[in-house]
Amino acid sequence: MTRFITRLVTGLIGVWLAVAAPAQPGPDDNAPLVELPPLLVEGERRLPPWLYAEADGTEYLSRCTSSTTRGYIERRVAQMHGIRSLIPPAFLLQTDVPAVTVLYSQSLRAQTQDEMVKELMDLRRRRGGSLLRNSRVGSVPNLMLEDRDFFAVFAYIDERNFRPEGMTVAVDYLDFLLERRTPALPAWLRAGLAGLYAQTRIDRRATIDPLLWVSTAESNAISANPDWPRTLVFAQDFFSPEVWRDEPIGSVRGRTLRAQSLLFVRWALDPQHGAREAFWRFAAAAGERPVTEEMMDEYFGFGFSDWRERLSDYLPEAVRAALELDLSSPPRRRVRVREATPAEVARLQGEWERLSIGFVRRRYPEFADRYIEQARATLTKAWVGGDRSPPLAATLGLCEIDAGNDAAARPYLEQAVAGTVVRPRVYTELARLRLAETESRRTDSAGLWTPAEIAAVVEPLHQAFMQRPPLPDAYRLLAQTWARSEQVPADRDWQRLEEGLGLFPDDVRLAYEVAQVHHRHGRNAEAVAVLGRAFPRVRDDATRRRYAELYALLNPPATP
Amino acid sequence: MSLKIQNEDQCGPSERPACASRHLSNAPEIGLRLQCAADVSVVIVRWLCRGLPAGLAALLSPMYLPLFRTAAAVSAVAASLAAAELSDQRMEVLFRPFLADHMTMSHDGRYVAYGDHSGTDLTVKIVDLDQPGSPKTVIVQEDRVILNSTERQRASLRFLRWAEGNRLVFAPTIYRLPQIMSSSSVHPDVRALGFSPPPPPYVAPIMAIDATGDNPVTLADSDQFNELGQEGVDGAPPDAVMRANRILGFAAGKRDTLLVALPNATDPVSGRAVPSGVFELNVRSGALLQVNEDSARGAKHYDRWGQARLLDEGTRGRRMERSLLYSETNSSRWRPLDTVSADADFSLTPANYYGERSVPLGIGYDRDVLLFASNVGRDTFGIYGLDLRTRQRAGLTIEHPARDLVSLEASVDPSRLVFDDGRQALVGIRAFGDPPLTIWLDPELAEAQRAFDVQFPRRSVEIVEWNDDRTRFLLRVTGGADPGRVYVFKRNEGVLTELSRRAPWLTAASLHDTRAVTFPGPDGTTLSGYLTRPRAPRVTPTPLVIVFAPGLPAEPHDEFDREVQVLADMGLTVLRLNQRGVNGRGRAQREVLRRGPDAAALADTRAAIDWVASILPIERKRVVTMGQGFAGYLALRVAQLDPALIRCVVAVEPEVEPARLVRPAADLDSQMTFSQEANRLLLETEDAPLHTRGVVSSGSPLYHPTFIIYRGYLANEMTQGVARLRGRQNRSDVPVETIEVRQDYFNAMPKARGKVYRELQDFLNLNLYEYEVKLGTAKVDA
Repeated sequence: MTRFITRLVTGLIGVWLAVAAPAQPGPDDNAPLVELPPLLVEGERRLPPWLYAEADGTEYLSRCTSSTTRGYIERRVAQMHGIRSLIPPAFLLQTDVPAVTVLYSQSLRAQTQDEMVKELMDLRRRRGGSLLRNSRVGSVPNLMLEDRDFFAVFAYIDERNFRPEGMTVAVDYLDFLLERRTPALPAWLRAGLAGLYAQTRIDRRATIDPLLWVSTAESNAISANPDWPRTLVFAQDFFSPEVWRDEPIGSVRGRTLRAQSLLFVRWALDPQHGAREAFWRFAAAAGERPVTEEMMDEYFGFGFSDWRERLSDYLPEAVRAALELDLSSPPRRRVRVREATPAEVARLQGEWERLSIGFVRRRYPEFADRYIEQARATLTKAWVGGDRSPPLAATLGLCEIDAGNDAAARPYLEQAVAGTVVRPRVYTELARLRLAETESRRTDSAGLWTPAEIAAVVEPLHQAFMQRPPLPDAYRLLAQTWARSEQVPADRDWQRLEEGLGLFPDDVRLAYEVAQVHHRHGRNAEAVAVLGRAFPRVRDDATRRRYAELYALLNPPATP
Repeated sequence: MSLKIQNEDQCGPSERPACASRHLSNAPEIGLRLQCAADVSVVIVRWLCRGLPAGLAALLSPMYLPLFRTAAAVSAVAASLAAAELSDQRMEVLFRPFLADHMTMSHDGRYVAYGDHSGTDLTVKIVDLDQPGSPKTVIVQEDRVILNSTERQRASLRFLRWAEGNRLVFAPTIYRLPQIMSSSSVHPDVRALGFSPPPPPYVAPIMAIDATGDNPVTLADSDQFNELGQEGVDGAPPDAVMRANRILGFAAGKRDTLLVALPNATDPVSGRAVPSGVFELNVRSGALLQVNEDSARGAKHYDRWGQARLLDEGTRGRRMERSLLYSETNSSRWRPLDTVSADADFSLTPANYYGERSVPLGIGYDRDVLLFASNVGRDTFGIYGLDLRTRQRAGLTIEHPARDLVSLEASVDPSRLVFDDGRQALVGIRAFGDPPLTIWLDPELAEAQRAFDVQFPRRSVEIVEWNDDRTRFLLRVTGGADPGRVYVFKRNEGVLTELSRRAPWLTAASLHDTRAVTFPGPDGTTLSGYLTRPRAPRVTPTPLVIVFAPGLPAEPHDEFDREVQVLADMGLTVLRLNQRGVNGRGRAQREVLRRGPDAAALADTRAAIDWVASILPIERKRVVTMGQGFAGYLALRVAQLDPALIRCVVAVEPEVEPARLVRPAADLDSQMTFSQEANRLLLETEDAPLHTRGVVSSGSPLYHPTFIIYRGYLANEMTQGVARLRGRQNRSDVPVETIEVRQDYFNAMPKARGKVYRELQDFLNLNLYEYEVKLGTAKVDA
């Protein structure tokens, strides 16, 4: 028996699947939207069993019919295949941790407002904010929540009107995959890929709509008259991270930057230019080093000025005609949908509820305890029931961490790590707890650590480094640990620290801590180089001062 | 002792493959290529069977052969399709005339106007930069009819500037109507009846329109400047003295008033001298006011107040010396210019034409300062100022170490001086030649130029105009493979708007990568040119074509060249070489011509091949020299002087015997011209006179297949030279193809060009890409 407590829909965080066709007006279209994740609690009503499936790196827990579930999953797999045909996977988030999707039929929703929703409405009213939003959204209502190494989606399916062939992966989701890619993609590439995808329909082929250039009026004008004056930004500005960061989106240059990013990606993908392979190699290099005239010449055989001219010449065609691209055939594998085991239900449902904690705490702390209590109850029930699997231990451990109860988390994390769970955050959290424990055990904080103490922290980190996605916290912890050691880091540690700098070039804190490690072990030249590379990315005065102080230590003034 | 040079790869006629002889017949092109490819397939089969026992090879060969013949035929079709790039359509887009180059920005920066062409009309387009919308199009003039021709001569602009109050003033180039009838040819009785002479022979309107499109008006035309001559006999009406007006620009401090000059003239009936004059023309009302009159004869140059300040009386005397005079501010007295300064030699004679001298440029906003160019005491022409009152240097010095800032042309040329009329100041100098170079005196513009040069790498950015508060700049950007584009940079917004293209039908992707290059030349010099790489080479390493700069003195190559695009279509790497002696690169480089222009070109060619080979994969045994006129002579001579260096030659109307450039034609009673005398003094030396260095007259053999394009119907020394060369080559069994063209080829008419280039492609297929001819080094038999 399940009681459905909270009914809500939100489009604020992340929308996974949008309906390509206009949404069918349903009986609940005017229902209120409440910005809270759904909370599923055992109740009085008798509901269909949970179904389970696994496909394309995602675990599904579904309370829809088997055919709806299969249709949803197969469509999603096909759409993601299309996206990966369009955008090489190397440019998207790559993770070893399976994502979780919970599918819930809208027909199972409670008919009356839950008491918590009423409370929330009261709260919003007291705060004076707008409470309700019109729910006439053109999407499958869904919410995505994310952790540092993991994400989950909750989707409501209107099974009466459900047409899998009408669903596409939403731009927000693609943008999430682009944003979370490490090392971070250049802003122009991310904007270009996401923007282009927004104009793309994926079926057997990818159809990219005529380009919208800056504004509809501008596009129409260029379409009608290829010689219409057009504004493009200089290549140096286009490829400059600072320009992308500082230029207001609404300014002429800001709008042009974004339109030009779409134009560039479209030009590169257009087969008539034969530049697709070169473009992806160029894009990969652009993520690692500043784009220069020589670099463009190296990959495309022409320089900045030619690049600009080619884009300008291509613009009339881009705004006038759709672009059809061939895609590789999607895998034809039937998804196996079966009834979920109680352990799977508890773990996946508990995972969703755990993810909700952080979200609710940030927005509505009044409700956080209720979410913690619910997640803990769901997960503990399975644990008490005898499930000792590493994934469940990992989720329980992280749940306690998110609840602020480090002591309770430690045994679960140790057990998950012992079971070599695929969950880089688990290893990182355990290393953090061990580091904190060693720190607190030592009364003499200035004293340096022993090799055993170092190993206790470093070993789980090295296990974390073997799993994707890479976490900056893990690299920071490695640096912090070696900064406390007399023992010289091994080669693999130096390599990992360098790897961290490459993966997270904008993380000025990591750079500072790596520089400290170099300094600690007498590698001042390397420390100076690390600080020098990172300093242009420092934005606040406090960090600048810290950098300056460390730099002064590395370069003591010459004594007369 | 005889000197015999033979290349291993030079087959005699009997050794040439069958396809070659077939080619010389009138075989259809595609069929020919198929057959050539099939011949190649035989070679491939032989190669595959090498090393096999003879019997087995003989067995396998017939098995392979059909297969490879088919494959080769397919390849040949593909090659034909590639060659189809030289289609009429490709020629049409490459050789379509570019749009007009004139452009101007209003003083407030809101409007830009530029010349354009629509159908058969010359138009001006006005763009409102603040309210984007369709540009306003003003039809200026129809293209001009050419008598007895279906083609039309394109009308173009001679003036386009914004006046005060966003009023645009423009004028098409002067068009002289054919003189159908003069009054003296009309019977007196008819004239007595009041018959007027035919319309004026000049069409030279000056027009204006508001930026909003209002108040379009023709401010003035030739008829307003006509002066009536003396009455004819029996009281007949007088003839009009027709004069074309010349727009000098806006009067100093009056940006609504144009200065218009008329030259001296002579009454055709009475012979009476009509003085020159200057008028002020109000661009709103069209009111004309004469402000100056001068009866001195010669070409006059005016200051910004309308006063004639320089007078060029032309050359005279046995020394062929040009006489230049000047007048001081508000004075009508002419004084010899060559006496004004001891260290600036303003005289011009054949003896100093290629040497040290000074050239007056004009008067700027400081009315007492003569701006002049000089290379006295230095290698390149710099720009200086001379105070005409004190006869002392005025402190202005603009120099460039490697570029002449003016050309060798003797005439007064103020167009290279850049003024800011709003601030009434000289702000920069545009150097002669390509790539474009502006040296700014104004620090703000110099800084803007630096910034643009960074933003447009591998391009030449010319700041054409700017608004009064210098927040908007009108730019012309050329270089690379692009014929040129016009941009507006808005400094406050930090954005660049592309307004127009010189050839919008030529997309960047359809053109071959071209870069301005410099590289080490002989004797520590630096050579320059443009290197074009084919997008789709037919073979790698690619053959190389070296195109010499045309003319004597040679004019440096333009940034964009249509013909080079055609050559690159054929898969050739092309270096347009500015050989030493090219105009605009200083005196020292010209001096090398005294030791022989052909020897200098050979040394330059060797340096060029070495340099290109060091940066690109080129086939050093497949090098072509090419040139037109005197450069055609160089192309032939370089091959003649070093046969192993060059594989074949392409020459357009070559000066086979260049001696005519230094002496009058022998069969005519003609006088030595200024240029002949100047050339003689530069090129003729006692030990190696030019007539001993002719392609035929030198007596040296020319072993190279040669492709010559010329107007065979012309009866002149060029055609005679081509005929002599062809005769000699035919007698020596050396392939020479002479392609007779008409004027339409030189007018760059697409069909005429396409026909010739297809012939050239076949010639190169046969003589450059020939796979069955083994390429080897030259052997010298003593």
